[in-house]
Amino acid sequence: MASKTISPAPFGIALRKGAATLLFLASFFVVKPIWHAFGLHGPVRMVFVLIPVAGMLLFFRAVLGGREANGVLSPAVRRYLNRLLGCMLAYIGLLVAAQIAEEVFHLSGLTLAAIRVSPALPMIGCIFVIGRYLAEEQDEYLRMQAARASLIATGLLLVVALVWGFLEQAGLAHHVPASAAFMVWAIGLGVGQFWMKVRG
Amino acid sequence: MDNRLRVLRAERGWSQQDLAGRLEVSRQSVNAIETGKYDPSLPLAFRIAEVFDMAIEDIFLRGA
Repeated sequence: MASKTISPAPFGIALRKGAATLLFLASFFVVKPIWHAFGLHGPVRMVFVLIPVAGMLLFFRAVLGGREANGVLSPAVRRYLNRLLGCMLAYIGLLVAAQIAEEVFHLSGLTLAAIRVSPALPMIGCIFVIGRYLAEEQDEYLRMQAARASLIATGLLLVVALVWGFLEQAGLAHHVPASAAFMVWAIGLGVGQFWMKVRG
Repeated sequence: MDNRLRVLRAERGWSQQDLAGRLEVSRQSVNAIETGKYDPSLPLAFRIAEVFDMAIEDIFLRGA
């Protein structure tokens, strides 16, 4: 059997990808403490969402570079990443807009419901983008890997939901909004891709 | 399933990237097929046979 001949992604790309991921994830825990530390209120504080946006842009750029270096950047992958980035930016934009609208206009009733639901639309778009990728990918091996990663993500989500649900019923875990399921699934997708990369 | 892809590619002096370009697949796909981690579909196996101008059974061998 032939030995593996694909060279690993250059260290610089892996480093940039790691740094961008850390910046993106850390931003979720950094933005609110910054607001509290500086006593920031009102729409002005939303400027700090530029931190996760920067992290996200750097992350997508690093992913593109890494895939190019590893010879796995098909036209469908490029379209998928661009669409996904668009959805994520729209999500952050709508999240900020919804927060500002709620504070400024003191919304209630149906208007409030519509505004609160609006950030979910780009997330639904992400699901559509993943489906489009599976339909458009002409490279059967890459398509199989993406399908496998999706199955791993779904399995992980079910496991987490089951375990958490039983713990919550027993009063041993606090309540988590159902919308967190998407985040768990997205993490599972990353775990699945990483596992397949390690497995070779 | 075993295959002679690596040998046939080497005989022609093609890199994995060259072969991937001819097959219109990713380099990772060629690597996965060569190393036996992935068995191609029948349409892709036919395309590989066409690229090497050989019969499928002369490239892919029934594994143990």
